[in-house]
This record gives sequence, C-alpha cells and structure tokens, in this order.
Amino acid sequence: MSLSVCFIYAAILYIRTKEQVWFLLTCFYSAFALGLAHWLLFLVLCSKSPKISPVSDLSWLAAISFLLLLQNVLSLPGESQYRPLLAWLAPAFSWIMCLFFFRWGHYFINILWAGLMGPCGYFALRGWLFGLRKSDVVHNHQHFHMSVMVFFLVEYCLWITSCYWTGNSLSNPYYWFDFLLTATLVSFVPTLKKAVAA
Amino acid sequence: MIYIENVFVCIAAPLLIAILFLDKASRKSLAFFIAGMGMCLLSAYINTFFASLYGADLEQATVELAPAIEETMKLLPILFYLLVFEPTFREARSAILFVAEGFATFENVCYLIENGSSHLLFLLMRGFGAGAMHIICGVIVGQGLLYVWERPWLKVAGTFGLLSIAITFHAIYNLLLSAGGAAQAIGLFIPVITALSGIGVSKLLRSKQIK
Repeated sequence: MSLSVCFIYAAILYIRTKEQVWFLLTCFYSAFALGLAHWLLFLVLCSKSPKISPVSDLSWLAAISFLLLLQNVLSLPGESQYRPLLAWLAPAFSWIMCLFFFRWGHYFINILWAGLMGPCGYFALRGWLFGLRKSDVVHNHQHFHMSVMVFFLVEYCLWITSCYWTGNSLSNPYYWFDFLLTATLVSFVPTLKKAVAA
Repeated sequence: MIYIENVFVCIAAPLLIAILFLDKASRKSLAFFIAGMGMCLLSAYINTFFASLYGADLEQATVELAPAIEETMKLLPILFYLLVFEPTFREARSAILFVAEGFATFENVCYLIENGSSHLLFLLMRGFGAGAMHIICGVIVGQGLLYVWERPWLKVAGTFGLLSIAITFHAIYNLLLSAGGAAQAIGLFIPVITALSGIGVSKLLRSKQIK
C-alpha cells in the first residue's frame, strides 16, 4: 500500500518536472511493488511459492538496478574518481552473504542479488563518504545515500531473519525489519527531493 | 493438436504479399506485425522445450515460464531495430506497438483454434484483456527503452529492469487468469484499466509539453 502511494507520488513528480531521477524512482517503486504483488498473489492463489521461474526476484532485482541507475545519475562531479577503501566493505559483505545464502536459495539468483546489492551499497557508502569530505550542497545528497545504506542493511537483516525465524506472531523479528524496510523505502522520496533541490 | 506453424504460414502469406505493394512506411509496420507473430510462434516452441525440460505441467508453464519467454522474445525484434537501424522516437514507438499487436493477434488465433469461438462475451473480454496486456508490456519496455537509450550503462541496466517489469506484469495477468472465477475477471480487466490510465497520463504529458 505504502509502495503504491510512493509510486503514484513519484510518478506525479515525474510528470510535473520531467526529470530523469523521478522517472527512475517511479520505475524502482513499480518494480518493487509488482514483485511483491506477484509473490503475494502466488502464495494466495497457488498456496505455494514459485518453483521454476523466480519472477518476483527478477522484479526486485530490476528495482535494485533502477536504484543503481538513480545513484549514478545523482553522482556529483569528482565523485566517480573518488574510490575510498571503506566503501568496498559493501560488495565484500554482499559476496560473503551470497555464499551464506547458497544454503537456501537458487545459486544463480543469489549471485545476481550479490552482483547488484554490492554496487548499490558501494555507491551509497562512497556518496556518503564523499559528502563528509565536502561542505555545502553535497550534504543534501548525503541523506539519500544514508537512506540507501539503511535499505541495504535492513534488506540483509530481513533475509537473515527469514532463514531462522518462521513464526507468525509480532515477536518474530522478520516483521520488525519488514516495517523498517517499508519506512526506508518511503524515505527515498523526501531525501531524493532534497538532493534534487540542491 | 494444433500445427501452429501451418497457421502462421496461412496468416503471414497474404501479409507478405501485401508488403510488396505497400509504401515504405506501411511496409515497415506490416513487417513488424509479422515479426510479432513470428515471435509468438517461436515462444510457443521455446515454452514447450522448457516445460519438458523442467517437467512443468500446463499451469506451471502458463504462470511461471510463459511470461519470461514471451516478453524476452517480444523484445528481440525491437532491440535489433534500435541497435542496427537507430530509428527516430516516433518510428521506434510504432514498431513496438506493431510487434505487440502481431504477438497478441497470433496468440488469440491459436486460442480460438484450440478452444473454439462459441462464448462471445468471454472472447470479447479475452480479446481486449490479452490485447491490452501485450500492448502494455510492449509499451513498458519500448517507451522505457527510448527513455534510457542514452548511455551504454543505462541501456543494459534499463533494458533488464524494464523487461523484468513487463515479465512480472504478464505473470500477474496469467496467474489471475489461471485462478478462474472472480480473480480471472479481475485479471482480464487489469490490462484494460492500465491501458486507459496510460492513455490519460500520456495525454497529460503531451498537454504539458504544448504549454
């Protein structure tokens, strides 16, 4: 529901401004929401999860690829030349988690997830560190990079909890991370608005 | 059993003859229409191959395999056109629509041969539903591609992202249709409603451009 509202709002902003960043954010929200809708409908109508083709995963991966494009479009002059060692933590963490998730999921899909989440975390961390070195306008971009970093971490926490906790009660940490993920997704709109205004 | 290739030859033959007599612009449109039908034929073959490879039943093949295969196949002629001929925005947009129309038409012809044509109301809903769904998926990929067709890294990531959105939309439609009952009716209406809202949004965008 919140994703649909965000999608509509981002689409309205795109129609008003015709800026590429809002087009990419609209695509991000639509891909994420469609993946979620497909997953839920499959569970409700077929009483099982998809076995052969991971359509929902494809849609979520598409959302991450749009987020990557958005990060690239937002990058400031000199940012692409800045390669801090600390930012490599994100791809390293993604590949370690990829090996960990091999125990449960499809190998190819896990590799795709690591291949997209790694750069996503890298760009977010690099953008944030780049902002720390500079003053003025760059700080407005930092909020968006922080949102993406939180999204990166919460997404991994969500996956890890889904491996160990399966209860349906609110004491299951999965639900709390899910709420946090929704809040993070919603935060993309105001933080991007601030970054674009700069 | 349907000999789908015979059906294709029968429908494509008069269109191919018509191409010889048409002007350049109409010839291109008809060629894309035939390409769309050809992609539908190839999708059927590939779908059957993967269904037997994974040991999938009819429902699994429809819900899980067909959307990914059909949308990828539908994209191929457009990608070829964009990469080789570098068309204008208007040319590419009509090519996308003709490929999607050809695909939807041939799919409907095969459906009629297999299931008969006695239920007019259902066929009316299916005709509009499947037609609108294929056109929407084509428009999602095509219009989006034209928008991200600027830089090499945008092309690759954008194509993958847009294709995935189209696959998921198609998969949701097939899932609702295979469920039957109220879900089927909702599934048939979703593409029509999406198409109408798309027309509304594009008109809004155009009016903003004029201003």
